[in-house]
Amino acid sequence: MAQQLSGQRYARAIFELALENNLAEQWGEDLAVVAEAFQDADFTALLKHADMSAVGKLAATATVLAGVDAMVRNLVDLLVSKNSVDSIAGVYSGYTALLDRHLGRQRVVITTAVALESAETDRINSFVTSLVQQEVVLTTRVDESILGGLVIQIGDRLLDGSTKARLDGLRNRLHTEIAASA
Amino acid sequence: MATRGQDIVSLIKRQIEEFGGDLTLVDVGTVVQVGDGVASIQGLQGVRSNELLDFGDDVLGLALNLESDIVGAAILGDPNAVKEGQRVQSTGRIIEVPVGEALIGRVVDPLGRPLDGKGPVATTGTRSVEKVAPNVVSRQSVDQPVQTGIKAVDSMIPIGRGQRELIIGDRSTGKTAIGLDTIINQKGGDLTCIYVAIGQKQGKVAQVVGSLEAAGAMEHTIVVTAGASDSAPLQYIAPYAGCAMAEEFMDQGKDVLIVYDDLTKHAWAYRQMSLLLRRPAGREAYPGDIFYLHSRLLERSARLDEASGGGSITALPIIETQAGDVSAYIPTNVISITDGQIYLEPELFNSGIRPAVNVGLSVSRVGGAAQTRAIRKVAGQLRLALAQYRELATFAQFGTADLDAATRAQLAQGQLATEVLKQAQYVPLSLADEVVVLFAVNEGLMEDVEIEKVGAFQDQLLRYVAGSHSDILTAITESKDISDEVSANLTKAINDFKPTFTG
Repeated sequence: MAQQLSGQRYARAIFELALENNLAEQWGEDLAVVAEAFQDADFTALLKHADMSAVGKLAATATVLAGVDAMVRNLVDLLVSKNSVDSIAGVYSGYTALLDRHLGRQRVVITTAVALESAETDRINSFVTSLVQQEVVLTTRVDESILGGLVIQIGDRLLDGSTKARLDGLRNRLHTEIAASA
Repeated sequence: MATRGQDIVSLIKRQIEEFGGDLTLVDVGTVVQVGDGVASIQGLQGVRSNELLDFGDDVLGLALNLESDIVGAAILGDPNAVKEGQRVQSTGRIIEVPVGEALIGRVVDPLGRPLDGKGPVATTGTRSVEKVAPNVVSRQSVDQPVQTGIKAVDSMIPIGRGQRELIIGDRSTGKTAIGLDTIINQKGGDLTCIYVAIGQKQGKVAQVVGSLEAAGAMEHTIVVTAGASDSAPLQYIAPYAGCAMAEEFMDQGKDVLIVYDDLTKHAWAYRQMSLLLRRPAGREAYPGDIFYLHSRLLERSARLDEASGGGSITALPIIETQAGDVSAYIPTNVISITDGQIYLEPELFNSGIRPAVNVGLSVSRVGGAAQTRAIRKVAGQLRLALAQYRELATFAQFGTADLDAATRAQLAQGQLATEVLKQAQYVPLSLADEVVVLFAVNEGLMEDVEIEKVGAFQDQLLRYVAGSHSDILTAITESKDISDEVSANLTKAINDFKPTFTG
């Protein structure tokens, strides 16, 4: 949790730098590359290892992140030299949140029981766009356990129209109403 | 049975017709850290303080710390059921409990769920657990008594409806017994009783419920219990939940008695929660708002004026001291909030003086105004006699032969008073019985009774008066006063009884 919080602070700092340089979107893509690289457990283990010299660590990041903007790499090097490699996931999520707010767009996750066809996705997209009155970045997920229907997650808010949720609701209501009528 | 089955079928039919009709946008979050019954949650942007959270699988949580990125929540229920990365949903409900008549006679947990195996509680309404106390305008001063049925309390430390009287003492000095006797004494009366057990051993709670049932006192009593094995948040909300149930009756214009057993363990539970939520610790590691914790609870006890319905909540909070230390942090806090205290002493308890009330340290700041006239007339000298006796008793240990007659008389009077105020558990006396016994002492009619035989004398006297002079008891009960005629009749009755007393 501490890493997450410090990650948020780093994210705010790099985002302000990005705005000054007018490179917010490009750095966002770069950070996605960085975050993906740091998903690799071996790579992070190497960067955290005590026997590896600081120079060696920086050389490793320079090789792996060759295509990334110099300023973003500076951030990574700073975190590596401060032994806060674990913060990087937090930096990425914080940065995307800030970028989304800056561009006025909203991330929405759609969960369905079966894969959606593109026409359906478009319909949902226009529905959600009219709902939040913002540009929408749609991600779709398939989860068979919801049985049917649709779950729309808009940021921290959830519109649960899944069959599973309705069945759960029905079970709870029957429990309480039968109890009350007894 | 058939009709009930039919009911359920029609209910299910209606449910199926309305299936999935309502869709609402809810706030969700993700558990980022969980441990020791406390969860840190990311998300939940719109959550309010004290809102119930749904962790799924019937596990509820309570949002307590609202920070910029993280919500700190206490888990009400099995903390092992919550895992990192789990989704949490807000419910939009500020923590509330079911209230109403249906709870009477039941044993429930702080969320109103039944624990007595008697099936679901058919309550209709709910009330918010946290509520601001009635304001100054809607209150009136205490003017009606709560009869505890305990001679020592009713005569010297009278309790009025709407009062907060602390019961304080070391472990096993009879604190709970005073609360229970008071509840038992309300049998057939108009007071509804609520017994809140906080952090008690489940065995002890079972024993309490058993005693109340045996005395037929569960018919007007609700027991709310959060045991020692329940999570700290549940123990923390228990007294507030009990108070919410009491307020429902108070707002209907009824009188309620609530016993919080005990607030020491309540403070411990809150300390545990606060430390786990990383709130700054103060003296004895209690958080800064530990005083407010109890003051806001006890302020909800009140006597409302007629315009507000005239109901009342009388609170008997219990505090356990360590080695008689009433100047510790929590005891001083609660003493300063309450309208007096009944102080129980282990030395008295062990020397056989039960209830072990220390008369010198016990006070009732407002109850005097509510004391019935009958008791006031006969209890006048008792407190003074006992206080003087305690001082002289130390000297008297070295023999009374050298003392003057007046001192010896004082000693004898004090000894008699001490003996008369002894009372067994679970046998509260009616107002009239108390008056008869105290009258006999006050009028000096028991001075020639041997100290060892005082208990037997009392029992036989009460039986005699009930048998042959029940008109006196009726007169006292109805007028709540001792008229000159009753006084003369009672003196005559006691004098008539004395020769027949065999000892």
